[in-house]
Amino acid sequence: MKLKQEFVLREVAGDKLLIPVMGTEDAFNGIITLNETGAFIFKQIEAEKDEPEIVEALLEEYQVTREQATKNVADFCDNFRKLNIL
Amino acid sequence: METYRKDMDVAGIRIAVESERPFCFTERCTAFECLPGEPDVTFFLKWDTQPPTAGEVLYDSSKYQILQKDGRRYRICRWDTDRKKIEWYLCQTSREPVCYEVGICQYNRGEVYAFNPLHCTDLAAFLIQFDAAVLHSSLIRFRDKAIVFSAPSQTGKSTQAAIWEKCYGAEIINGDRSVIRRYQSHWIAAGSPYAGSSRIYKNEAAELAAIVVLRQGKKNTIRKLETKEAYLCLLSELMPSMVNREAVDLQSRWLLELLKQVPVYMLSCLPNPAAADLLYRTLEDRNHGTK
Repeated sequence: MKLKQEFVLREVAGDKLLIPVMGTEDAFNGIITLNETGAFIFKQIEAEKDEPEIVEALLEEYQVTREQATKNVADFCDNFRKLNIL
Repeated sequence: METYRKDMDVAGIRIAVESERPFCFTERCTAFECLPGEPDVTFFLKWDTQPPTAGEVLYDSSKYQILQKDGRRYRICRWDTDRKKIEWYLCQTSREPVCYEVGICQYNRGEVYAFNPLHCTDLAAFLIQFDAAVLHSSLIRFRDKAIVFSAPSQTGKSTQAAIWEKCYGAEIINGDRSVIRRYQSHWIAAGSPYAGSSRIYKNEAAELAAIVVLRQGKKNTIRKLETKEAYLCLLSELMPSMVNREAVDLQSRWLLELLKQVPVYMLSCLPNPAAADLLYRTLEDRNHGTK
């Protein structure tokens, strides 16, 4: 998977924010707040890993079931696709 | 061959422009012209030249294109509607010292070329090299300190600045875009050649006392913002870099440093003197350590 535009991940007062590098006039220009798991998934996407690879990485990093990890990754990717940034 | 040179100073950043042909600054830049000195950045004007024709296109809009070729980034401006004729291009040729080459392409209009060096740059990427950024805000100086009112257009930035001018004798330095800079361990706010429709653009600066985020409200209320809320409010009013990831990264770090040292208030208000009075009393209380 590959992001359609670049972002800068910044921790602000304990929250993780994604700040867009806009690139084109019609690019997404909002700021996205992520939780810790979201930030982890984002970094995997940034490294151009696909969904099954991210699920495996999530299982290694966090104590979650495969079912939960799969749903987390799918939901995250769906949201990014809806925003047309993935 | 004779060399022509003009200097300007914005927020303490000394900008030199050198050219083999005569040129002048645009009207708004003229207000920032200064005597030649040791520059922080130099722009070299090159005449009758063209940018590369091939490369990786990083950004393309109706007027600008950003092209990457051989490790260099070219910002290309077209002046015609069919996007064929190039007016100028800019390329950073050195980081230390900071130098840019500006190609002036096919300029044959007769009159002396009017140049605005800031207009050619990716301004956010340019300014962050000097610990500075442009904030969409009006800027006043009151008792030798700067107060900036930041908000989206049509919220009332100019109105609040005008009320402070009328009620407290504050001086309006810029009506629409201020330069905020970390300078010699202080944070300053300075005027810029950009002023929106306000037409107020003075070359003045003062130590930054407070940033006030404005919102229209049904009554006047004020509160000090916590870091995250202040960060989100101000990030959306900072002039961003469109394609320079490093600049976006640096600017977001810069903003966090600003918030450590400069208080940010949210003033939800009506366009009346009572709103200014509320802010005045809040800043006075803060100065006296009661808030």
